[in-house]
Amino acid sequence: MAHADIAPDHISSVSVDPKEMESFARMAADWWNPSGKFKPLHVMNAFRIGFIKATLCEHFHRDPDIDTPLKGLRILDIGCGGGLLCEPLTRLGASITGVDALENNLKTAKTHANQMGLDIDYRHGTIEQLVQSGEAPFDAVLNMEVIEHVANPPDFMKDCGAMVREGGLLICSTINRTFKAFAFAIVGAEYVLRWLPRGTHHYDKLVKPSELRLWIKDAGLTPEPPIGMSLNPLTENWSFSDDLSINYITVGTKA
Amino acid sequence: MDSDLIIIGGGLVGLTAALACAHKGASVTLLDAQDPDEHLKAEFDGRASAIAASSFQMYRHLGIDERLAGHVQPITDILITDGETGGYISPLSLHFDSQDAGDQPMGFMMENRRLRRALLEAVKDNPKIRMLAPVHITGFDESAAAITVQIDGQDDVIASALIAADGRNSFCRKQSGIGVSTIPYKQKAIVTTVVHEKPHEGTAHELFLPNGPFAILPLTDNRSSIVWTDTPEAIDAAMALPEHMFAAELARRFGNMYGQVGPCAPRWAYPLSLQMAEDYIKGRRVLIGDAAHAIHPIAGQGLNMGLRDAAALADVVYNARSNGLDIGTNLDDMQIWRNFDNRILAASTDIFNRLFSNNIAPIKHARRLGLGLMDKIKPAQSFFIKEAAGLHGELPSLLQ
Repeated sequence: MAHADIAPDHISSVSVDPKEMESFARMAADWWNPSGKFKPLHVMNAFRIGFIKATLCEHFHRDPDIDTPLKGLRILDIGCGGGLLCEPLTRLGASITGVDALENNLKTAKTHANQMGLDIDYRHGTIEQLVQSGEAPFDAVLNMEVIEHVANPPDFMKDCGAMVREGGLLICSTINRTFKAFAFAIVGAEYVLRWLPRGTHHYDKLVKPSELRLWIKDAGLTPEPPIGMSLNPLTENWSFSDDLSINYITVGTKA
Repeated sequence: MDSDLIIIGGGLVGLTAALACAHKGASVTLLDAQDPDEHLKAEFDGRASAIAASSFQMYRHLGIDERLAGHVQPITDILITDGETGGYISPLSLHFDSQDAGDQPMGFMMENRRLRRALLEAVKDNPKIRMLAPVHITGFDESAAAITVQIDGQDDVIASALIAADGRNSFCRKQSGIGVSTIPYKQKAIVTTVVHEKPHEGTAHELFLPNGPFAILPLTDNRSSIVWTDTPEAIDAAMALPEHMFAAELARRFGNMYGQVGPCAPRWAYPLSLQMAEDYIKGRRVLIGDAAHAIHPIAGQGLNMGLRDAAALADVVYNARSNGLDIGTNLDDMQIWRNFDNRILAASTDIFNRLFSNNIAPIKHARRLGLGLMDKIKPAQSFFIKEAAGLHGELPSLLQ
């Protein structure tokens, strides 16, 4: 997750010292264990990748049934963590750049990608620093479960928008600021079910769909109607719905 | 990585799993200890199988039905009778016909070697499957990213996931340290094929005798497959009988149902037991078919459970692969999908067999009453038929 307060001075590529390799391999094994402590993220991940793939294939007129439907697309994943989105999208053919402000996350991601034989460009820093570095804009920018953690969401969104090329798109998912979201995503997930560490989400930082819509517009993109994502806590299955009261996704396109 | 999957075992379940996964886009390396041509000899396997309607639907999707043309006998009726050898046959019998399953045959009978040939040819024609056989597997090595199979005198094979379809005594299961629980039945079965004078009209008979069921399952060309289950002593004695005496014993069991009856294939004897693996998944390894669960062949469900494993596996692999996920660490849905089905079915056929294979008077009366009742209660019968046809519950896409 992107925590601006602990960011480095400038953006840089990630390398892992061979001496550190073993400890990061252990952390990677934790991150990538589908039934381990990141299980909720894995369960959500399979579902959101399906959405991202379908959205990209539709927008860029790709056949979703071939082995590498995203071949040739440059994609930026903001707040990439251990690379749970970067690796699958790389397998689907995309060229991925993953940015995160936490160095340990990136070293873990880099170590795991090396183990899997996947070539992913991981950068340590913030989206603001990436824009300042003069990086060429991307076909798509992914902004998944990040905006509810950043210090200044409107500015953050402008930087994200600047990284989308003309004709490209932004995919943004987050949690609504409703009583139901408070009850399920904070009390339920953090305190009752212990799916997430306590303090993962703060109620006042959650984002209403109308706010996200406005920030996307102000960043120079055209927001599409938001789509609700619902988790059945018994089956642990995610599905799309009209219910925006907890998790939702908004896609923005750049003309 | 050599392929997405390595499948160990070139039996009916392993071959089907390879074709089902390849049909869904995965690349497969198929390893078998035996020479595939050996499998095709009539002497190798005298058995025939009842393929459930849902499993046969998968074979339609995979184009196997065309390769089987002329060798498939639809089962349109099932007649279950509680009786005693050579004497009184209970008038209370249970009759299922295909209307109970929605107007399609309840299953399809075929000789295993015919099915094996059709599957092998399809495997050879499939560019996504590489078959290496015969090979001697010496070990496995699992890393963070892949699983490696070591083969005597050949290059290692590396894949994302390993599928063990290597049967009841699975080497892969043992090497993976997965235990089994086993219930021996103290029963054996003779399997053979007979030719008879009169047509069977697609009827399968299951005659419940005190020592175990005697099943007459229709094959093409006025032939039927026999599964004769009995005490080990009785089966050993029957195996030792000279040809003409064995023929006379079979004729006695048939009565005059089909006119003249005579064996037309070698006899095979198999010990029966129920065996369940403690886990179906460990790391990047998945057990399917008899490696995971070997059940009593009483309702013809053993192979069909394995075929449903193959169909579920194909969907799970497809979901992981089409989302760019690492296949070998995203197999958990397989366990959820198959566990319930397998354990329920194993338990129900076990109870069914215990209920019918004894001569204790109260149970005998109860079961006669039960059969008579079940024949009167359409919903119970319909459940049973649909279960036998594999049409219950949410189905993997290839079974639909």
